[in-house]
Amino acid sequence: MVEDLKTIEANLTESEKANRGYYRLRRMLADMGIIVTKRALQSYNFESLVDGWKISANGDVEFNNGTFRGSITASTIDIGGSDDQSFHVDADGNLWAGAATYALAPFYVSNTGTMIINDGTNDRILIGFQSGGF
Amino acid sequence: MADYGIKIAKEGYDVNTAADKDLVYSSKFNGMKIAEHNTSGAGTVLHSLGYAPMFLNYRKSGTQYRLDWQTTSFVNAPYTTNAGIVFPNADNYYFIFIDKAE
Repeated sequence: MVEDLKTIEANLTESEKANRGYYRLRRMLADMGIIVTKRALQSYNFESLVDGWKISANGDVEFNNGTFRGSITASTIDIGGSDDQSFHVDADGNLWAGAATYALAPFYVSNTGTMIINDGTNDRILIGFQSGGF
Repeated sequence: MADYGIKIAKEGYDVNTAADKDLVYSSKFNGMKIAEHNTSGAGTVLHSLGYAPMFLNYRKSGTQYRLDWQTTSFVNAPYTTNAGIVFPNADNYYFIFIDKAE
């Protein structure tokens, strides 16, 4: 790595030499496969939803697989897009699967403790809480 | 806990709003639970429920299975006790329920 940096230093243009620290850091990151863009840090191969990773200054990140040894805290959860093979949890604690929205889901559980299974036309099975329902 | 349970609507009905008659199941209503069912000759089938349970008995008569109704004379009719079901006659097809007789 040290030799590489010497090579990089030797190849700096006059303009780059004026900002030696900045370009030195950029080239070092590039050597590691990391690209610095405007208000973001990303892997050299980053392509949204396809490959690589990106950390944006606004706090958004995109990675591929991940392992968290501790807990995860989030406002909402959306897995599998927004189609009939997706799973969601909203900020109120309602969860549903099989549709983009709670109202259209064939399976959902409310934060009041009601689980509903819909047959495609009607809510057919109810397990749990329904005020006055039992 | 009256607001908690399980219910299933008939096809074409919304379980959230369906009347009780339009449900195929509701935990609102007690369902008889079968402790055991089997065949028996004349005699006593013991159970370990510790109380006199409900029971239902068919008796085979040729190719027919007939409900063994209690008669007004109480003669030769099966009955339930804390220990078992007593069958005075043979060819019984019985169900013993978890639910108490009274």
